[in-house]
Amino acid sequence: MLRPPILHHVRRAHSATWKKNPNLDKIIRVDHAGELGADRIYAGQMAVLGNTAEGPLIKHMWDQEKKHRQKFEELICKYRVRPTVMTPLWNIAGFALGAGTALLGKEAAMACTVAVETVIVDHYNDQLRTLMEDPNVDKEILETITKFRDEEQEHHDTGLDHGAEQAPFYKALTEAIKTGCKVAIAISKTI
Amino acid sequence: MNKLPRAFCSLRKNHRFILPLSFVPLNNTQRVIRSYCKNNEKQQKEMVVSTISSDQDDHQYEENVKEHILAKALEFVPKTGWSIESLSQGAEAAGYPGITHGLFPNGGGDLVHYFNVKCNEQLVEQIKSWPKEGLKESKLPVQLIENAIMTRLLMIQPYKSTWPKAMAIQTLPNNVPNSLATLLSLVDDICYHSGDRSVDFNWYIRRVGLAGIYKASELFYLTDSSQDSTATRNFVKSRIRDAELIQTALNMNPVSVAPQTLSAAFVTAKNMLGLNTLK
Repeated sequence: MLRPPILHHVRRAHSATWKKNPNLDKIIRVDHAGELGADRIYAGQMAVLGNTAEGPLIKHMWDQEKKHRQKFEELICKYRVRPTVMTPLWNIAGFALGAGTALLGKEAAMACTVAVETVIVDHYNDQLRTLMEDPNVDKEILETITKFRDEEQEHHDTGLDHGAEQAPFYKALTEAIKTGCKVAIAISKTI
Repeated sequence: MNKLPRAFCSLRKNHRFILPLSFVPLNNTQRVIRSYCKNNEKQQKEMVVSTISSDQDDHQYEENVKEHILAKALEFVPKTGWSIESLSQGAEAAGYPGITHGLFPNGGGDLVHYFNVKCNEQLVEQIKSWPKEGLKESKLPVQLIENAIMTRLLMIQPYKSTWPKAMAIQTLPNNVPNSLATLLSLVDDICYHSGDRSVDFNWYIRRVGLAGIYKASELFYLTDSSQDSTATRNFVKSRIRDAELIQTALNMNPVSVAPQTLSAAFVTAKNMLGLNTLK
C-alpha cells in the first residue's frame, strides 16, 4: 500500500516506458541483484580455485557474468530504476558462498554453480513469460533476458559436466543454495 | 420528501433511482443516469453504453477538476492558510460549489502535496536548462546542488508565513506517504540531473544525504530574514561542505590514516575527561 504512491512521482519522468510495463523497475532491480550475486560468487570461487585446473573455466564463466552485470547497470541508469538496498549484503554473501563452496572442493563449487544457475534460469523463464503476455513489450529487454538465460543455462550444463554431482552431500547442498537464492530474489524484488 | 414513494417503487423494480437522491452531479454518467430515471426503459441501452466507455475519461475529468480547484486555492493560502477554507474558496473561484472541498479527503494535506508536486516539476524544468559542463563522477557538483536547493526553497517564498503550518501538516500520518514520495522524487531528480549514475549503495547514501540537507535548509529558511536569503545560501553551502568532508573521510584508505584517526580519538578522549591542559 505504501509502494504505489511513493514511486508514482518518480515514474512520471519516464511515463511512456512505465505504461508499457509497470513492473519494469522490479524486473531490472531483481535481475541486477542476481547478476551482482553471481559475479561475486564466481569471484569467491576464483579466489580459492583460481590456480587449479578449473581456474580458466571459472574465469570464463565469471567474465560472462561481469558482462551481464554491466548490461543491467546500464539499464538501471537508462530507466532510472532504484537499485536494491541489499547491494552490500549480496556482495558479501555472494563472495562467502563462492569461497565457502570452493573450499569444500571443486565438485562442491560446481554444485553451487549448478544450483544457482538452475534458480536463475527458472527465474528468467518466469520473467520472459510475464513479459511476453504483453503485446507491445520492449524488444530490447526481451532479447537481453533471453540471451542471458541461454548463457546461464550453458553455465548450468558446464557445472554438471565438470563433476557437480560428485560433490559431498550434493542433494542437501543444492537444495540449501536454491532456497537461499529464491529468498534473495523475493527480497530484491521489493526492496 | 415526495420522491420517497418513487424510490421504494424503483427498489422493487430494480431501477437505479436511489443515486440521484444523494449524489452531487460531478460527471456526465450521473446526468445520464438521472435522465434515464425520468424517462423509462427505452433509455436503458443508451445508459449502459455510456457508462462502460467513459471510465477512463471520468477519471481524467475528475483529475482535471481537482487540479483546477487546487490551482485556484493556492491564491487564497496566504490569507486562510493550508486548510479547507482555502480549498472551498478556490472551488468557488473555479466555478464549483464551495462544498467541493470534499473531493480532497486530506484537506490541507492535499493542497500542500499539490504545491510540492508543482514545485518539483518546475525545478526539474529549470535544472534541465542549466549548463552542465564539468560534471565529474568523483567530485560533488557543489554549485549545481546549491543552486537547485536554493531555487526550490525560494519557491516557498510567497507562502513563507504559512509554511510552518504546512510542514506540520506534512507530518500527519495520513499525509506522510505523499510527503515522503515528493521528497524522494525531489532528491532523485536533483541527483540524477546533477550527474549521479550510481547503481549500488551510493544511490541511497547520496539521496538520503541530500534529503537531510534539504530538510535542514528548509527549517533554517523559515526563520531567515536576511537580504535575498543570503543566510540560507550560506547555510546550504556549509552543509554541502560537510557532506564533501564526509565523502572524503569515507573514501580514505583506513590503513593509511590510522595514525591520524587514533591521535584524533585520543585527543577527544582527553578533552572529554578534562585531562587536556591548553598552554
